[in-house]
Amino acid sequence: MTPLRLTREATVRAYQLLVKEGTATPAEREHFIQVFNALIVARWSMAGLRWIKDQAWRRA
Amino acid sequence: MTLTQRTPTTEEERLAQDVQRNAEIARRAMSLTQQVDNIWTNYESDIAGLRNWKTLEELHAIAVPRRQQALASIVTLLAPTPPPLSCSSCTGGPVSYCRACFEGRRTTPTPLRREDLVKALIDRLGTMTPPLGGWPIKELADVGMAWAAHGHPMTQPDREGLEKILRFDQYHDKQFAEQLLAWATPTPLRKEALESIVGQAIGEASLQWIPRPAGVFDASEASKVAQRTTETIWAWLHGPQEATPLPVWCRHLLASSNNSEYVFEDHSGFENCRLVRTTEWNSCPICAAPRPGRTP
Repeated sequence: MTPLRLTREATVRAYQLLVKEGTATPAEREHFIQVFNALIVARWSMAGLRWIKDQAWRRA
Repeated sequence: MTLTQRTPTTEEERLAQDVQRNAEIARRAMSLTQQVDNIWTNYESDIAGLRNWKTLEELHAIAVPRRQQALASIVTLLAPTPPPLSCSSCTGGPVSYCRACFEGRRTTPTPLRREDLVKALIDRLGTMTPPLGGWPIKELADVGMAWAAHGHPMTQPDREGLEKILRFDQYHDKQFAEQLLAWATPTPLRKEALESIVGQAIGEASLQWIPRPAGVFDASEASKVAQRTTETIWAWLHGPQEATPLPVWCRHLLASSNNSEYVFEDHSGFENCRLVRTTEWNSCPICAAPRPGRTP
């Protein structure tokens, strides 16, 4: 899997666009999905993933 | 002038066999590595193709079982549970795979026990005069146990060790790859290497030994202790069937440490020629005793 890198802040924003707001363009959507799939393959812990989700829902 | 092909010596034949065996091991290791890569690539492609997840929890819940499945496939590939083989040359008892040659070989069914090694060391060294401090049986047994833990050539691949590596390390880490390769690469256990380790241990221990009133502890005595200890550990590792000694020749020519050839006894007057090849000799050059098992 090609490693796709985003900063933590960008990952939070990606999750907002992808899931919370659902306003990502098709190209962004494909890219963000690959980012999160890559995080899973890289064995990110559920705690790390939950932090992204919490931050995404907490921020405006 | 006509060139005739020289007949290879036993040592050359052994080296050639080693080279051939190592090439075969390397080929199998490469094949296994390729298959592991394929399993992991398939897993990555599988996850990369996920599109319909709604939340990160859902993605995690989908991906984890698939990762476990991929890891289980790798474990099954690298450390298969071998079917019980029956050996035609013995009573059909259980045999195990040899990590060095990947062939089924007859093994001692009983596990290696430290107390057996300690008892064997006491029996074997008990016939020699001990230093005043006594034999360092515990330390010598430690050497044997460490050697056995280093990679007993007659044990199956360490499935638990592999699972531990897979569980705790990232697949793409260099360290993980090195650990995996180290695990999958059979360690050729040579008796010479064991002898070297034992010799070092004896050498260090003998520095602490209190010399007997007669004088300084004789270095050749330490050498004999090392040889006996090596033979004891080797026999303990491989079982009695692997340690059949060469038949006694005479008091000048003794079996070498790997039981493949005869060498001169230390005080025969030929001690500088201990490594001379005696393969073709039919009688001892000192006492003319005939070579056992061969008509002169």
